[in-house]
Amino acid sequence: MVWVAGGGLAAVLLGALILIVVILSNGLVVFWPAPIEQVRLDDGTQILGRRINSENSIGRGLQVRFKTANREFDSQRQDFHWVADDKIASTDLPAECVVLERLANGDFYGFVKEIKSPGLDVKQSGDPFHQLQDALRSMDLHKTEELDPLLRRIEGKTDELNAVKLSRLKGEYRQKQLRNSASHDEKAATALEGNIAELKAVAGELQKDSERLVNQRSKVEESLRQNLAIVLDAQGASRSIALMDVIRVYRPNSMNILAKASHYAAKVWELLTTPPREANTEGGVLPAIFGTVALVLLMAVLSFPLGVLAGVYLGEYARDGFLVRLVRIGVNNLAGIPSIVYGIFGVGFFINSLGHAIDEQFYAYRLAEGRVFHGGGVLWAALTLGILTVPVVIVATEEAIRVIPRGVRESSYALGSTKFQTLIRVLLPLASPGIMTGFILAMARAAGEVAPLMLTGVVSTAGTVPLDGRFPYLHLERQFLHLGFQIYTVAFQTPNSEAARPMVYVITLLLVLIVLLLSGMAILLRNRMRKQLQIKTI
Amino acid sequence: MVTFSQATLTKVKRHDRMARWVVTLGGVVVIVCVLGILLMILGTTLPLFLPARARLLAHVNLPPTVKADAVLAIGIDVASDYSRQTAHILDASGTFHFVDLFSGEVIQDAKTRPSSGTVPTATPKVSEPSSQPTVLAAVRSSPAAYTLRWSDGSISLAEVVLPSLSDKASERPKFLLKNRANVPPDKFGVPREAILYATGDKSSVCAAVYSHDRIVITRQSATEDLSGDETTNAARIVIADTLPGPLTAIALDRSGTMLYAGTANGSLLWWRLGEDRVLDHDILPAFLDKRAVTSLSLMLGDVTLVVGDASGEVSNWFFVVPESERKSSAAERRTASSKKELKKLALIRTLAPHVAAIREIVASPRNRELLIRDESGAATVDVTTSERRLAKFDHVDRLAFSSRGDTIIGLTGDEIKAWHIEGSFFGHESSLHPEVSWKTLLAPVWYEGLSEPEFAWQTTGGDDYEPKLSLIPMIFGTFKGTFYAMLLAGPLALSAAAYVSHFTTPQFRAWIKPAIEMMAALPSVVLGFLVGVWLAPVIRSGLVTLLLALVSVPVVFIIFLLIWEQVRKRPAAERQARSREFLLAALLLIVGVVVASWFSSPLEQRYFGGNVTTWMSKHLGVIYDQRNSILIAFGVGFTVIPMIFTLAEDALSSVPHGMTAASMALGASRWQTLWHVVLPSASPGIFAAIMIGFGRAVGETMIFLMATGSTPNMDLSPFNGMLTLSANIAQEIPGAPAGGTLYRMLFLCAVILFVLTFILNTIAEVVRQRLRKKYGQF
Repeated sequence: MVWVAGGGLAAVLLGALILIVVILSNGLVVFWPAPIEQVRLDDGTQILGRRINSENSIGRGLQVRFKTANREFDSQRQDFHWVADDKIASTDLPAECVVLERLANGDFYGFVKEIKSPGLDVKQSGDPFHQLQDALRSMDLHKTEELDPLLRRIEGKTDELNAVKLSRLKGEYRQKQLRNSASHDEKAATALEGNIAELKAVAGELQKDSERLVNQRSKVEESLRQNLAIVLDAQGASRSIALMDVIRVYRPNSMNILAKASHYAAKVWELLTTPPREANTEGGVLPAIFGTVALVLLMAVLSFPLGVLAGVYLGEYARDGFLVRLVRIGVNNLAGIPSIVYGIFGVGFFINSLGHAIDEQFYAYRLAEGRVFHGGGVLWAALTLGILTVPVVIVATEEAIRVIPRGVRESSYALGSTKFQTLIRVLLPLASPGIMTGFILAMARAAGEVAPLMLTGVVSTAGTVPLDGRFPYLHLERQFLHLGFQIYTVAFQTPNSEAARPMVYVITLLLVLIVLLLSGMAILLRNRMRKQLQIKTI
Repeated sequence: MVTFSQATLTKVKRHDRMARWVVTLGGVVVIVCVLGILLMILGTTLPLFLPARARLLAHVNLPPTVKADAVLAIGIDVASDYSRQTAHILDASGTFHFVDLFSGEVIQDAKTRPSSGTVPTATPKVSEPSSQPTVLAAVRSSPAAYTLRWSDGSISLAEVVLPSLSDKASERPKFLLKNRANVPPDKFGVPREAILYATGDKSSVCAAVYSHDRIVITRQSATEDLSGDETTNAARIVIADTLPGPLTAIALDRSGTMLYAGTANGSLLWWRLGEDRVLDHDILPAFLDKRAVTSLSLMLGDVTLVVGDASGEVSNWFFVVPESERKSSAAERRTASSKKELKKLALIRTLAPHVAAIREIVASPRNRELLIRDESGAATVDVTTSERRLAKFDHVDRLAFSSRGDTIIGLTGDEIKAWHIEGSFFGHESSLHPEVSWKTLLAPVWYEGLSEPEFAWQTTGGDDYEPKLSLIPMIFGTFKGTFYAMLLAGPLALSAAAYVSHFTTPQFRAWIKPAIEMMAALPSVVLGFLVGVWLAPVIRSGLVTLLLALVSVPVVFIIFLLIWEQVRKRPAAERQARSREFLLAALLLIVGVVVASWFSSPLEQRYFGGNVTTWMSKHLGVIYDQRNSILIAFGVGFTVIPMIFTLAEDALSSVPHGMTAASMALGASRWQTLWHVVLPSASPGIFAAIMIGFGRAVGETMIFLMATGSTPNMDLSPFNGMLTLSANIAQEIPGAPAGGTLYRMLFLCAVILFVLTFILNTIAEVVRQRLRKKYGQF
């Protein structure tokens, strides 16, 4: 029977191991430049692609799946193709095969034929691949010098325009209020007329400026778009791709290990520092990382002080009676309440009651333009997570304070200190590792929790993030992105889920790393604290 | 000696007092907040269960020009903000009197008359009194349109056009009368009963009963030719069947394809109407005691027929596939249900009875409410599916709904009264959800389109679609998912805990415990993704391997143990294996699975035709869903294993060492000690661990959302998915407008989850506190 019990443990550990291996093996290889095979089939067709997996299906023999990319040129608009293994006549790895990472339509696999770059200062001779690299470098320069300042100015104009519009709305609302009020202050209302007219004029001016800039931008883009890379696909058909749309180009089959490693590093850097592209299936996850971190920090600020306060009350101030026992059971219980229940509480209380009231009170003038706080937002999500994690902090604080030996307290009292002084100078410093453990556990839980966020304001794509350069910089009412929700939405709700899967594994790996790091820290801290306390009590 | 000044001492004391206050206040506030959560969620669900009431909005006297017994019909128009309420009263001269319900004054009079022309044109204004035909009776065709039966034998449809909402409240509303359709006098004379609907802008359908129970259906449609002249085409169907008894009531659906009739001896008849002929008809002896059918009406959507009879009973009928057809195989059933001919009109339910014969039944234009009036003048507002009675009125005549269905107008003697139907919370107004009752939530309900009463949850559909709101499928799904998860997690976690606490060395324990604790931190969205995307195809293709492994792993274990019995006689082997059994067991597990996969492929080829899932659906009738309970067992199981393991391990290792040492000293083996000494004392703790694990599994959301397919089915098969309370909340709340029925229903789901986990956790907590006390003395 001991063996059966051992079998149980073995199954659990094996399961955990498989889990880790699946996440690691799928997540780590995504950015590694895998070789591209040129496959010649029996019927003469050629395929250029990466071997993904093979499956032995009954009646049809071994089937191999290739990622062939070139989505927009494919007759079925597919990235992936199944090929019967016995139909493959020959395969080889052409060294000059290139991968073009593009802004739209995913990757392009093929061969570089020539570069047409009238607007760029590139030598028109030599190896086409190096020519292409040079051209891309020069294109980047042009983009940063000509296009980016324009884009920044357009953005600035849009901001100004929005600000002016809000002031105008405020003015109009005030005017309406004055006219409808009992005193019927027509004079003041008319006085506002001038202001409003002025704002309207400013808005018109800004609109014109902005249109001019947009025109200018499209002209610049048009001239940059003249620069083309002429490439050949697997069938030898020649395609032209605008250099503007190309992010990166590499030859996976002729890269050495060092080049591959640097490519890998560049991709990881891109993941951590850029926003997503193509409906979250490519590019980075910076907004999601930012959203997750902002959410967890905001949650910590909102909930930890309260949790510690309640924990100190229960552990040090409350007299042990029936009521306190009941409260303790209640708090322990709350830690076990499903997170979705907290989520729906957030919807009912924060969004539909508090948010509604705030909107009616302060933002009545702009409600016609859309709700402000009466809808999901990072503040409400953080508050919801806050009440979700408060029990964890309470329990940890109370436990950390209660395990401090009586003698410590008594000696402090004996020296004449008050209860408050004992708490601040003696008990809290001693309990701080325990409280910290509670904090970290709460943060780990908050970072991995998705269900309540789905109800209180997480989105998969956002035009705006909660933090930007505009006053008041931190926009608590805005919706946000979250790593956990990104997994759900990219894996289950993108149309091209097959192509998106590598990205999901990468995000999963990232989230698991963050959460395991946090909880590993907590466990380490707790173990160290236990040892310390043991030493102290002896 | 250090001395303090008095000032310092007071300051310190003040700080202490302040701190005590702040800390106590903070603690109490947190606890109150936390209680507030439950109250808030409960408060949101409360309106679902509140009783209804009819609040009298207004009562005014009839205008002096109108006699009470001359009133043929009454209606009400309510502005959306209730700022304007107007009644319209039709008298025998064909005049509509518009009365303001606040002041009682007549705003406007408008007269209609049967137009002899083919197409109704301009609005007839108040005209000269002459030898005009009079209106014999008026039947409501829609909340603001009436079928008027004239003394000259013609039938017309008069519609009251309500003032548009953009009209300023200060201005006096202007009502218009529009003659939507006309049926000229028929050669059979003056009809006894008639109902006329406008089926399009210029088309209409009319059913009229003439003497000798002849029924005439008239379809009219106007077409415009090239020169702009309109010609009216009329198709006429005459039904002169021999009937089982004298006709007492008819009902026609709004498209004019189904005609129902009731007779004085308790029969129901129906005809399916084509363009110009009867396609199909049937006679149904509805009431065996031959009581007369006194009133017929069609509910919103024209599917359910409401029958009122002479004994005061009101029953619902619609077409269902008869039982004999349902017993045929699934494939045949599918084709059968598409053919309406196979369906039979069946009695669905009988509502709470009235004391006198039913006089009139008015169906709500918005929901499943009915206004039922009987001969004694008593009237009720009943909801069919939830079988709730919302309100009751005495001595009323001529009842009608407003177009939004929440206001009712009626005539009591010389008085016009209007009521608002609403929820009542200790005398205060609250929102009303008539479609919800304990019965709809917890009992099978026979909804339209179902062939029998069912527990159904379905909230999206067309315009006059009725949401199906049974909680049972979700509660069932929650328990089903939890059951399968616990089936995997319980034994694994407990045996692992037993092994780690008593059979292994402290060195192994020191890294196994944190490793499993780290597993607890794994976000459930990650598990949901892996299970839904990575594991689902693995299980699908390896189903035989999985089932085979259930046999092969024990077999491998038994074979090994038989060998081990021989090997262990050598003390060196015994010593080597002791406390490291789990490493070898892992190897055995792998061997078992490899053996299973070795055998599975030939087995599948030989016995299951190469694909076990198609074989299952063909031979066992078991459908294999891509997202199923096996996935849930693995996914949710893995989230609760660490929790159960940690708590159970704590309970097992907190059993005092003296007890195990004593047992071992008496010669008991390690297993005997665990089974007979440790387990009995630790059993409350283990029970608590399972309870808490159960609570966690019940509330899990993301895995259920990502790996179940969210289908509200109700069978225990491990190869099907399920819909759980938690996944349902996450899925439907974005589409639930605040304050609506669905919104409150989702809050109710949350309450159930809350209460369920609260009970489980409280039991666990009480047990654990007791356990702590018990071992505190050692």
